[in-house]
Amino acid sequence: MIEFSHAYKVYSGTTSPIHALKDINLRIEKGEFVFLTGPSGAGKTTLFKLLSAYDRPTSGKICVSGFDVNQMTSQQIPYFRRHLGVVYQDFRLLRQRTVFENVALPLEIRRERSRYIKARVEEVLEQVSLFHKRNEYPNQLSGGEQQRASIARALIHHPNVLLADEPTGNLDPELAREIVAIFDKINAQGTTVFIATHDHELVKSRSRRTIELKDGAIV
Amino acid sequence: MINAWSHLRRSVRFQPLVQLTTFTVLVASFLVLIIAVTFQQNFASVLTHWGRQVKVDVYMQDSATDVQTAAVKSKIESSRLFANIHYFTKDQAAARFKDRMGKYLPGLLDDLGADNPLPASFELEATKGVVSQRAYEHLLAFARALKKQAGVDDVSYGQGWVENYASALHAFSVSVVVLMFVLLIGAAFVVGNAVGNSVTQRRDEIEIMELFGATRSMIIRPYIFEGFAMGFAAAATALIFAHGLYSYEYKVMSQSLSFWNFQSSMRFLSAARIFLALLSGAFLGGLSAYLWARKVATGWAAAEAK
Ligand SMILES: Nc1ncnc2c1ncn2[C@@H]1O[C@H](COP(=O)(O)OP(=O)(O)O)[C@@H](O)[C@H]1O
Ligand SMILES: [Mg+2]
Repeated sequence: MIEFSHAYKVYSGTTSPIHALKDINLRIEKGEFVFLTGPSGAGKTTLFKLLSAYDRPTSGKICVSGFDVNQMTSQQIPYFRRHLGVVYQDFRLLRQRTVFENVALPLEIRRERSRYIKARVEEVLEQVSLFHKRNEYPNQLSGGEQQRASIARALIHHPNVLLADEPTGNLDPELAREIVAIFDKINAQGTTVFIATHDHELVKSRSRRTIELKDGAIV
Repeated sequence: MINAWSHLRRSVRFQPLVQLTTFTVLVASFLVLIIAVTFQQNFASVLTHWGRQVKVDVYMQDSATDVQTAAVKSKIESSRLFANIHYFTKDQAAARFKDRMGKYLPGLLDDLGADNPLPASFELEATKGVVSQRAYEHLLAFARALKKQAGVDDVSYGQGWVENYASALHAFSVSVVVLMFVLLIGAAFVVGNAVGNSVTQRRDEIEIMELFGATRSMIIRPYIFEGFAMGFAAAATALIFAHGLYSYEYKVMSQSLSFWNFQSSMRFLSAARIFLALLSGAFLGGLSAYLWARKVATGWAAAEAK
């Protein structure tokens, strides 16, 4: 389902190159629930960026859902990305669209029927307790609310793989538990779930497979 | 198209300042172009108006026979260069002269009958006027040939004036073509940059659309539509301003400068040119938006963001 072999990512830093990921090898099977942990700056976000075709690896091979991410043609990229649900650490909500419109985006891109879109968006917004904010704009929301909107958007199209980068970072413990319960539920329905977090309590509270990163390498 | 409309609505709602700035720049660029075209068109038609008034006088020698006069007349007619060919005999010339000048010089011309110094002449009007270098060269060649004809004393066509006029017209049309070209390039550049700026201000939107699987054409199309609509609206606005300016000029011309009768040959852009202006505006806006959106939406816009 997800496979990294000898993946490297080097950023051209201002003074010297930054080796953000070094020789990453990992394999995650379909339907697994995996945590990615490690201190800030360890390379978690970078790993997710390579995984979601947000950015290209410097070298190495990355396969997701049968796509070789580094070999895809530019025509294939959008269709590959539609298989994924991604919660970005910085949310990446469209400023000019309401919560409803933001959450509906993946379905609009797939050209679903508007009646289905409305029903599905309302259902997911209920799940993340954001239904009452559906007509607000992102700048009218708290950090936690923006995070939940971006989680709703990642779930809306029943993705094969859910990637969530620090999805509970801005939530209080109770909401965090609710969100993780949602992840458990969609994992139970067959979705592969991969969550990056530095929240040790969260990881400890579940007995799930954990991959730890440190200075860009798996430990 | 529904997406394109909501895109347009959002642009206006969330970036009124950027959109207004872009719009203003577009209107200004188009206005300059439209004014230049209108001016060129009217200047050319004023010149043409004058060119049409070119008159040619063919003075006959006093010794010219009737046969020679008839030969001159048929030569003029067969040239097809002239309309309104009038022949005035010596007596008619004298009568006309007296008629025009008599009241200023009473008595002076009474004894003209005996020793009439005025020649017989043909008065001709150039059919199509002298509105091009070629027409001028034709006229010149014909006048020279006619002058050598038996019985012809002299041919006058306001030589100096027509000559200057023809070369001015030529220089004018060449420089107008150059000026238009420069203006057009400049306007295209300014419009392209203004539209480009308004597109790149929204690159985060393009990045996010890409990240959630929108294809390149899905992303670019609403921008093209927006550029197209903006270009069209700016061209329409510029036309309205230009027409306002034109009407004002027309009023001034017919009130203060009516002596020259400029206003009779003044015209605003024809319907075809108005249509062309709207179309070019829309096309330029759409094309710029397309080029800029295409440049941002590489498929890796998020990773390429600085
Ligand atoms: N776009 C970038 N350009 C340069 N350096 C970067 C960029 N993104 C991340 N880095 C660097 O790569 C390292 C890993 O960052 P990141 O993947 O964000 O870590 P984490 O998500 O675990 O906190 C850090 O040293 C960070 O400064
Ligand atoms: Mg991170």
